[in-house]
Amino acid sequence: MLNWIVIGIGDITARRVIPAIQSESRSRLYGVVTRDLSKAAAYKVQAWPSLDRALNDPAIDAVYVATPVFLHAPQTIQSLLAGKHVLCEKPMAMNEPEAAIMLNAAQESGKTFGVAYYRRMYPKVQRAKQLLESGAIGKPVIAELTCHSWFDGEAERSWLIDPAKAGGGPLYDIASHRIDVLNFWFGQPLRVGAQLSNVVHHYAVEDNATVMIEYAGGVRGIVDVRWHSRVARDECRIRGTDGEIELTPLNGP
Amino acid sequence: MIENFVDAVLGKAPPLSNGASAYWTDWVTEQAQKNKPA
Repeated sequence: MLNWIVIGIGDITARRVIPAIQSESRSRLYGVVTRDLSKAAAYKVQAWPSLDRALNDPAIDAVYVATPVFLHAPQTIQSLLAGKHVLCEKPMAMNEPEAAIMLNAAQESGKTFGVAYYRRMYPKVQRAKQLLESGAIGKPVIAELTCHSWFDGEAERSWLIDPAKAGGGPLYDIASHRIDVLNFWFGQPLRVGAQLSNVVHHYAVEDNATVMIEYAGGVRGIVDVRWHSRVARDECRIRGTDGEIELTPLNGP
Repeated sequence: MIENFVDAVLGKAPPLSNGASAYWTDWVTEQAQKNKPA
């Protein structure tokens, strides 16, 4: 049985992460780390106000880091060095140098380190990879992923518009998942071009980003994400020389 | 995601999203972020 602790009890943790741990047969929610201990009461497990204190407990096997992005690197590294396996929310870090340090810490610790880019685990995304590898659409040449929604920085998720806590806007929050799907399909990215701007919301982070990625063999991926569209879109398709794979909506059957 | 991670800890399957794969996702994000207007 794997004893988990979760750092941070926010919307996603409460709706997805903790129920997933509780329903996994080899896992047990052992405790939570939260500054507001009243948030832990509903789970009837141990609660600590700081990670330092929690990591003193040798019964803990795994840590789920579900805090704002600026805390991912320090909390992940601290947990790995304490001998715990770590599953970290996405994006992995505030920037590439932080991500590299996290990766080194994982390698030195010998512990399992995962990042919650879970869309690559969707059966339809896995099936698309099989089809690409089998040549079902000929040579893939372009993949287009679009995620548009309206986000006005409300309430509990307001930290997402603070660049010191989130790193960036929709580029970090929603494009990162789609970039990860492209990397899953096409491998290591070679070149990146992008445009970021603020068209409607004049936050300190961008309210839209368009990213173009080039992969080996010349296949391109385009990711367009927007927080200023009242028309929700979640489009995904791959076009090849002999056909195309339509996966719209990405978040759906 | 949790199930795959536990499989990886127990040595039954590789983690589908590990630090090495996520590093390249964050690398793309970092490159894109450089295009943010000052």
